[in-house]
Amino acid sequence: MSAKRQVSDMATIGRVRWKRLAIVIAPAVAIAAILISLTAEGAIAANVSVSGQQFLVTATQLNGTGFEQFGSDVTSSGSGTQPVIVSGIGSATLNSLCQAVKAGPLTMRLTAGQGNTPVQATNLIVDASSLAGSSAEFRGITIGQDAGTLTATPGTAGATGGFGEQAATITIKNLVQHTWLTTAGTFTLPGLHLSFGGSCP
Amino acid sequence: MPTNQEPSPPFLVWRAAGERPGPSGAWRESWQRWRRTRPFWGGLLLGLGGLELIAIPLTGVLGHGAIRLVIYIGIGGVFGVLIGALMITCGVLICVNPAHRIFYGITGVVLGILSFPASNLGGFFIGMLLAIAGGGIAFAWTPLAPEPDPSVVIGEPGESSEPDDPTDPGSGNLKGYTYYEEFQPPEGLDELDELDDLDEADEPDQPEAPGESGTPSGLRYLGLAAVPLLLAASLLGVPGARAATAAPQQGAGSCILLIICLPSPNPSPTPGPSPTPSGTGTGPQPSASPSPGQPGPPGKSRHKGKHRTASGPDLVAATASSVITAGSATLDEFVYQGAANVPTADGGTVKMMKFTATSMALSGDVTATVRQRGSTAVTTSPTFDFTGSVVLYATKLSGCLGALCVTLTPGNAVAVLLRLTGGLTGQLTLTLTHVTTDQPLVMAGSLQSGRLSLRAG
Repeated sequence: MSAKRQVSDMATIGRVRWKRLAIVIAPAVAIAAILISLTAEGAIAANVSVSGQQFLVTATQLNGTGFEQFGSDVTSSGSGTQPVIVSGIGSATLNSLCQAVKAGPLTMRLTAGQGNTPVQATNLIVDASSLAGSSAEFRGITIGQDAGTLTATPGTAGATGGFGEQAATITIKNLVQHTWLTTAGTFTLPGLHLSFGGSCP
Repeated sequence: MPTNQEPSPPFLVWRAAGERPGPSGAWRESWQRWRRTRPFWGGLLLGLGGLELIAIPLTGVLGHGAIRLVIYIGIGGVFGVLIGALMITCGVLICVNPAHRIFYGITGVVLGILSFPASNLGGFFIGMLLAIAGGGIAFAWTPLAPEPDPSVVIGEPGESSEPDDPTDPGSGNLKGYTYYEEFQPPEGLDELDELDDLDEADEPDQPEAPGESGTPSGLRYLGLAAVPLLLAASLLGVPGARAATAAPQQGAGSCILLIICLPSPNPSPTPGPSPTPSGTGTGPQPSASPSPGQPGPPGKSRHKGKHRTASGPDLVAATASSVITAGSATLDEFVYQGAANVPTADGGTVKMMKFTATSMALSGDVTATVRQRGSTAVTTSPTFDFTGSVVLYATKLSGCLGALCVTLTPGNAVAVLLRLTGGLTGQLTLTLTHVTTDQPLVMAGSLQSGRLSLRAG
């Protein structure tokens, strides 16, 4: 008998009980708000990996240790195979990070690290179609090494035979990158601010 | 069956286009009934949220780009994709197996919250909000008839003697509908029980929880449809795990598409270019003898090179075509160390000239051009200042000293340099103009660059 009752339960038209909904939504939203505020304070690291149409990343200063760079390409859904410059940084700090991501008709602008506390990222890997800076300083640099033998950023290396370079530390001022793919193992985003529309300076 | 009860204008248009009215109406109605007998919108929102979470890291790159992304992000980033996959699974299961809607709904809400730190800030909030809303709706969805009388259940569709409570605000205009699934004949139930028995062989002695196990609708077997999703999610996880474990031994090999792993010709890339002890002030050395052991183990050939005065570097030179040009180059304490056999990734060596200097300042539209696999990467800067025991290897170096323009190659470097410097060898400061360096391999304590621009095209 109980089995047959189940049949009816499955088949019964139902509706959403709003009080019941509130029981779940209220604590969920509260916890999410706590998580968001902790992230905006830089207390919690977020995991970021975005890809897609070219988007813009700017920062007033990038400091990194364990830097390597090599050429590669990405196959994008929109525009076929694109050559990219892959930069990997083992650990990086970025001042006044701004990232403009295009999602369909919307442009989302994410800013963080505007104040004294910079954004911190580990295992930051960026596939960029172009990269520019007002000045750059590399320490312990090797240019022209085989891309397959790069060791500065563990776990990341290019194709064997390719042209690569690596450096122990790197500093780039006024970084502007057009990237296809950005990923970081962890990203602390103090002063996180997300807005729609607009672009990065 | 109450068909064509509420023909809406689009429906009429559709029918006018020549569709058979009966089946389409029946289809429409059964779809509607299917939708209303389960927390469909909750499941849909949850699934959409999961799709959005997966789409952000993966849409832009296909093929090996996507695989490389998974390698990059490693096990931590795979969680982001995994959370999206789990959300889709929960969304599908909510629709397929609404009896477990509470568990799937709560799981969806928890996954939505987790996605904020784990997956691009919850897909830039959108996926997180969709998941919280969808999971909440699935949790809050309740059947209208709280305790249906068994006598109502067993009956032919349309025979129901007990319509829905007319005072219930939720019934609305659905009064004319039959709310019951196709009645399962006892034989069908028996078959399903047999399937249950088969299942219980795997999980013995599971107590029958009322209202969960023994759900005979057979719908839970449709839950198997979610298995491919889970499989896909776990497959996505595997390369990340492999990349993570492979990370410490990255120098040992290079993997293409995770499948073809080539053994590296240079087993242990030791850090840092060690300056050669014989490099101070000595004159040009005769070029290193061609190493006979070239096809042998690459480590062997490297050690052979080390015994020569102009030793190769402890690293592997790129074979991609590369050129650095500059308007002028000023080299302090510039010394030609001789020709060296520099190992390359294919196991062979390439003969290069080795120079050392305490500093090397390039200026005047410094351009580094790299061509590989049909694409070009160009780095430009007004100045490149290398300092701190600069070591330069190159297959060809050309430039002008005043009006005298020369091209150095490993074969003629000694004679040309002697001519260029008027017999002086050893430490000197040299300023060359119109400098071009082929296949450069540069090591330096530091590099200061002016306005830097890199472009791939």
